[in-house]
Order: sequence, then structure tokens, then C-alpha cells
Amino acid sequence: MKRRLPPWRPMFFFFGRVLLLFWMVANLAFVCLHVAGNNPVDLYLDARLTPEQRERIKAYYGYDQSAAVRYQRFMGTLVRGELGYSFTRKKAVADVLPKPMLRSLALGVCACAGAVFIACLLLWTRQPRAGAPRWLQRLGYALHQILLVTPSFLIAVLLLQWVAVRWRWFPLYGSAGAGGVVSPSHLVLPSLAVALPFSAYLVTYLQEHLANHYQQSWYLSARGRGISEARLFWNHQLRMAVPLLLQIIGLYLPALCSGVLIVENIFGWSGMGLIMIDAVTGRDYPLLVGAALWSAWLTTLGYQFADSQRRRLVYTGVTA
Amino acid sequence: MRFSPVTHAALFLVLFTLACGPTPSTQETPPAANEKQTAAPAHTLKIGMRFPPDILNPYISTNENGNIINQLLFPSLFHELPTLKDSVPRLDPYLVVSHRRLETPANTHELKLKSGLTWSDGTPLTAEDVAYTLDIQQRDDLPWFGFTQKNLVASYQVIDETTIAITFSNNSLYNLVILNEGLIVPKHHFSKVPVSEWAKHDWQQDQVVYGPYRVAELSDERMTLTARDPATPIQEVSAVFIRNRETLFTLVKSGDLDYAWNLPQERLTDIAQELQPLFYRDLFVSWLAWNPLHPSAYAQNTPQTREDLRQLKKNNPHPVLADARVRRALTLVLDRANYLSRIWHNHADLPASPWRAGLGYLDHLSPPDDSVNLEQAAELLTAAGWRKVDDRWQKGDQPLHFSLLCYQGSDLRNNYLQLIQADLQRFGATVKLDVVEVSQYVKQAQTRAYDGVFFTVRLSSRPIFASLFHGDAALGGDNWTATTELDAQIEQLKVVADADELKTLLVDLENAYRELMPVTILYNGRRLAALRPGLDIEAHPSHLSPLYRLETWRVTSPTAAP
Repeated sequence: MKRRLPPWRPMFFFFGRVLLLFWMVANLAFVCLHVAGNNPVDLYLDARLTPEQRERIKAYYGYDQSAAVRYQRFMGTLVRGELGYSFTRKKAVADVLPKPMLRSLALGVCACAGAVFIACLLLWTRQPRAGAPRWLQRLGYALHQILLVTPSFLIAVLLLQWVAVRWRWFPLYGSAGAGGVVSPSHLVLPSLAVALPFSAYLVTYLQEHLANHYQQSWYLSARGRGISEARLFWNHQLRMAVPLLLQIIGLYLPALCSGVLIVENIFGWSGMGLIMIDAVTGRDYPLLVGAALWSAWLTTLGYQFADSQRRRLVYTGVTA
Repeated sequence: MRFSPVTHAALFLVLFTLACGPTPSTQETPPAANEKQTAAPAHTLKIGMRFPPDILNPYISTNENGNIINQLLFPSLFHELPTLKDSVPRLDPYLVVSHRRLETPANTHELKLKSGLTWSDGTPLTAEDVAYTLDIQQRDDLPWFGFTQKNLVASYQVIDETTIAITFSNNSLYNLVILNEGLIVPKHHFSKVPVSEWAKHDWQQDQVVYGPYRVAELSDERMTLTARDPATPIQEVSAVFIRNRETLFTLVKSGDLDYAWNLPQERLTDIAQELQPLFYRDLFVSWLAWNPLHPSAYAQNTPQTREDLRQLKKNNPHPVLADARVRRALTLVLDRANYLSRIWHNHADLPASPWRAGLGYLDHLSPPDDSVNLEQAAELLTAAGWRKVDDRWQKGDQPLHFSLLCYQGSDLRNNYLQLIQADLQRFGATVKLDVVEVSQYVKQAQTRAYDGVFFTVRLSSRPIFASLFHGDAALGGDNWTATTELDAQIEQLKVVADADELKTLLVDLENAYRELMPVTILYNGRRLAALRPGLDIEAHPSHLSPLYRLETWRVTSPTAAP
């Protein structure tokens, strides 16, 4: 008789793997920055700083110590659950990160949702037997091709110029009005800038999967019973594509929620992308490690979710 | 689906037509209905900045915007004006209403503060606050980078609530100007937090400031400053933090922002045409610093004394650049006026020496001729033992070849380097451009592992430049030029007490500098700020701050303020 595993074991191993991953990410981030050389004080290129002043600043922030001592201190704070102090922001890392994390999460989730919606519409126009009018099929095809080759930063600039500056339909910059963290009207343009190219990738992945349906017995049977092509597409084909869609989202969502640097830069959206670039260029170790751990956490969750969709894909016959 | 070029073309045409639509609406056009805007208070200035201030403590802040904002919150003893009077930056009364020099002790100034000054919490601002600030500035454990001479103040004595006598360690024209670098902070508030905890304290939450402004809101995307005095013309400053310079330019052009600096320098012409540009003199100077040492010498035998450095230069000279004649020749080859015209559109200056950059200590003398002179350059090289063979200069087997080190991130620098390379190659020298990542640049520069290095520095309004040329700074790894011949003359500058003596010294120093040519100055760029079209405002940006004396900026047109 097969022994039943205690219920805590899978959870234990899952969190054990996550902690191991975090430890590896933190070490890798530290090593990479150490190899890259310098520290925030050395990179502060003000020639008026005398060597004595520079050493004083380094000592105040602990950058005068050897790499081994800094690593020891860094690991100690991490074990205690602290992420250290950010030189570039002059705050504890734990105080710097929450709002950008929330913003990036909101942007990533909205961009994903928007991409799925747009992808569904594009798929409808791209499928020859989905019931879309001919002219719409041609338009959808052209749009799909354009979105595939247009990078998100170009779309961001175009949206800023037309929609925000010329027509004033949405705010031009920032993530919220005074006092807030994220507001819906501020989310629209950055999300669209990310969603549009992503939707084109989704369509590319999914259209082959949908094309396989036309020869399957359930499809032929439904057509024989008089169900329209459009209804078949929206009610049945898309539903069959959901596991694959969720798996793809599970793989891409962490990257989106970790920060979309160029879009954030253009729209003044203070998310994790800008945090990461500030941390790297400023050699701000604690901030970079905090941002890297956030990214690692999201990636772990996303991949676990994507993995959980694998069984459903096997069930639907997509994979072995 | 077959490829349909007609549909693609039609779609592109539609998108292109939309892109070529009417010009963006300006501030005069009412915003769309879903852009909720309440009527802003009168005289609100909307500015764009690239980064938020890092901390509201002038003795911990290390970013430029932190310094700019702290200057609006905490007072200095005087208002330093961006002009010279008798070779000294002018100081106007601010906290200090009068000052006099005492007979004894020597080098002592008695400063009298205005009476009735208070901090924002009502606590009186007294001489004790000034004394406390002087203590803070002298601390070894405080990471404050200001105050170029740490031992400037020998002692002080608080005489009464509004009077303090400060004894300086030397007699210099610039004592009060240097003293004025530090902002005065409230003793009763700052002393509550140990200095070791200053970096972690939330200074915004319980601000105690003097003004003219205080921070009403500060987040990572926006900031609001409110004036403390109801009579201040600009009562509120609303700042947003936009990292992208192009976006800043777009927002000022569309009227969504009133004022910004840090605009894209590559768009100088567009900014000059489409916005109201405010070019203001700045003390940033860029130059090519020449290494008189062999690039590997410094790292292999790091000198510990000035004598060690001299020996190193004697024993390990740079094969090309050790000779001052070669450095002068290369300077004569570069058509720097042409670079100014092509890259800066003449919105920059070419000072003959560092002492003519920014504040014009030698304006009373005609500047030396810095135009291109290939014949003189050739004579200098010939005198130094170089010969031209097949259009290339060489000395024995050594070609006139060297590299220029620079760091990534600026089209302006890249353009400069390419023009320099082209001019030198036409003359017969070969130049390799090493444009590297900034940490690599710092590493190579600190170990003198370069031939020539592109360097930008913000000079002080004092003509001392101790950290640039000083031999001690060279030994500490911060002097890009590793030259010591000018040290003695620079030391004298620190203690000069007389304006005429200063001018004589500076003339000699300039002549020595031009003889030695440790650096070839490329430009003293003017900083560029811009106001949106239609806004009529008397703004006074200066090298001291792009928001310099913001409390005096006046909105002159009744339709200008939103």
C-alpha cells in the first residue's frame, strides 16, 4: 500500500526551494556588483570631494570595509529579514520598495489583462473560420504584423504624443494624483504600451493551437448541429485555449511585474524597472538585492502557476 | 491569410496622418473632461525634475536635487550672488544683517544676525544655531562633502543671541564665502537625533525649516513646496519627477509644466525655438586631461609622497604626453571654436584657463588667442623631437598615438570625441577612443591607466581648485592630471588677502598653466533651463541653483499663472 505523504511535505519542499533560490539570487547580485567594481561613493563624481571627505562618506555608509566584511554584514541583515539601507534613496530598502512594487504589479497585471483582451480580438480576426468579416480579417492581419515588429517604447512615445499631449484623454505622467499610489486613468497608457506588443506575441502562440481545432470531432459535430463559427470561437475554442494562455501568462507576468524600464521612463511611472536601473548604475547593493529578490519571488510564483497548468494542457491533448 | 500590402499601406497612412496632426494643445486650451483639474491656487509654479531630493538634511544629502531643495528650506548666512566684487563672489545680507572684522584676535569676523528670526515651529533662530552648525560641519564622522577647507574655522564664540565671532585659521579673501557654503540648521531639532542616525531619520515628517519654502508633500513621483511668507510671489511649487529628458521637453512644450532644467542638450535648437530658453552661466567645465605618466606606472608604484610622484614622472614618463610641448601642440590642433559652434550652437564658452570659466576672475585681461595654429603646433612637435613621416608624426619608432578615455551616456561627449579624433588624425596623430562604462572609467582614472581622459568638473566659485591640481589630491587618487608644478602657486591662492595680489597671482598661474598645459579645456557649457511658451516670469537660475532665489521670482503677466 502506497504511503500517503504528510500534507506539509510538498509545502515544505516548495518553500525550501524558494528560500534556496532567494539565497542564490542574493549572492549572485552581490557577486555581480562586486565584480563590476566601485561603490556609490566612488561613483559620485564630484571632483571637489577631497580624499578625506570621500573616505569619511564611505566610512559612514560602511563602504570602506572589505568585500568579505560587507558580505557578512549583508547576509546577517538578510537573515534578520532586513534588506539594508539604500545609499541612493537615503532610506531603508524596505521603505523604498513597497510603492514601486505595487505600481509594477498593477502595471503588469493590467498590461496582461489588456493583452489578453486585445489578443482575443486579434485572434478572432486572424482565424479564417471564426466568423469575422473579411475586411476585419485583413485589418487584423495587418495590425498583428505591425504590433509584432513595433517595440513597446515606440508605442509608448506615440501614445504619449497623440493620446496624452494632443488629445488629452489621459494623464501625461505619473502613476496617480496627489496622495495615491496608482490610479486607473494613469494606468491606461502605460498598460497599453506594454499590452499591444505582448498581445501580438500571444496571438502568435495561440493561433496555431486554435487552427488544430478545425479537424477535431467536437468542432465538426458542433458545426453540423448549426452552431455558428463566431459562437464556436468565443464560447468553445477560446475556452480550450485558456490553459495554454495561462501557462504563457505565468511565464511572462513575472517579467512584466518586475518592471518595464523604458515604458516607466517615458511615462514617469516609478516602478521597479527604474529602481533596478538606479541600483545597478549607482552600485546600490542593498536596493539591487531587494529588487532582485522581488523579481525572483514573482518568477517563482509565476513558474509554479505555469507548471500547474501543465496537467490541464495534457488533459486537453496539447502536450504529452 | 495572404499578405495584403494595400491594407498595410492604408494602415500606415492612417497612422502617419494622425502623427502629422495639429500641434499639441497648449495650456490655454481647456483640458479634457476626464482630466480632473481643480483651479490651482494663484501663482503655482509647475516644475519638472529628473530625480527627487534624496533627503531633507543638507549634511546627508548627496544628490544635486537634494541640495537644490535644501537651499529652499534652510538658510545660509548670506545670499551669495552669482557675480564678483573685487574678485570675490558678492555676499548680501540674509540671516546676517551686518558683519565687521575685529582687530583681535586676528582673522576674526563678528557676524550680527537679524533679530526676531524664527524657525517654522516658532523657536527663535539664534547664534546658537550657527554655532551648532559650525560644529556639525567640522565633525569627522559626518559624510558632508562641502566646505573645501575643513579647518577653515579655528574657533568661534557666541557673544549673545544674535552675535557670533568666528576666527578663521588663515586670512583669505574667501573665508566668508566658504563659510557660507553650509546651510544653517536648527539646533533644537537636529540635536534630538544622533548624527549616526541622521541618514535613517525621516526629516520630512517633522520638518523644522526657516524657508522661504517648506515641503508639503514628497513622494517618489511628486513634491509640493509651499511658501512660508504669504507675500512670496510664487506661493506653491508643484514638482513632478520625470526621468526622461525628452518627456520633460514635451511637457514644457505642451504647457503641462512651467519650468524645467536638465532638458536634452541635443535638442538645443528646438528648445531655443519652441520654449523660452534661459541660458545661465554654469561652472561645469569639460577638458581633456593629459597623463604625464606612463599608463601602467602609477598602479605599479603608487607614490606616497610628492617627491615619489616627481620621481615617478621622471623615471616613467608618458612616451608621448610627458612633454609639455606636445600637449600644447595637440591643443593648438583642436578647432575648439568649431566644436562650440557645431555642437553647442555657440551656447557655450571656451575659457583660456580654468580661472576664466564661469565667474571671470581674469576678465580684466584680454584672453590669449586659442585659435587653431597648425604651423605652431608643428614647430612645437619638431622642437620636441618629432618628425613627420608619410603624413604621420613619429619620434624614432614611437608614433604619435594615444587613446582618449571617456564614459558612456552622452551624445554630446561622443560628438566631441569624434571631432577631436578627426582633427588630430588630419594633423597626423592617431587617436583611439575608449568609451567605457562609468565604473571602469573611474577605475582607470584613479589608477592613471589612460593617456588622455575626458573629464567634466564643477568648479567652485572660488579660484582655488585644490582638489583638481593639488599634489596631495594626486596622491590620493583624485587628481586627474597628476601634476604638481602648479601646487605652490595654488597654495598661495588659499591665503591671499588682497584683490590686487589675487589678480597678479592668477595671471602668473594662468601663464604657468598655459605653458604646462596639463589639461586642454573644451568648453564651459551654459546650463539650460526653459519656461513654457506664454509664461511671463522673471526667473533667475544661476550656477548656484536652477531655483536660485525662487522667492523673488515674479509672475509678471496676469494670464500666465494657471
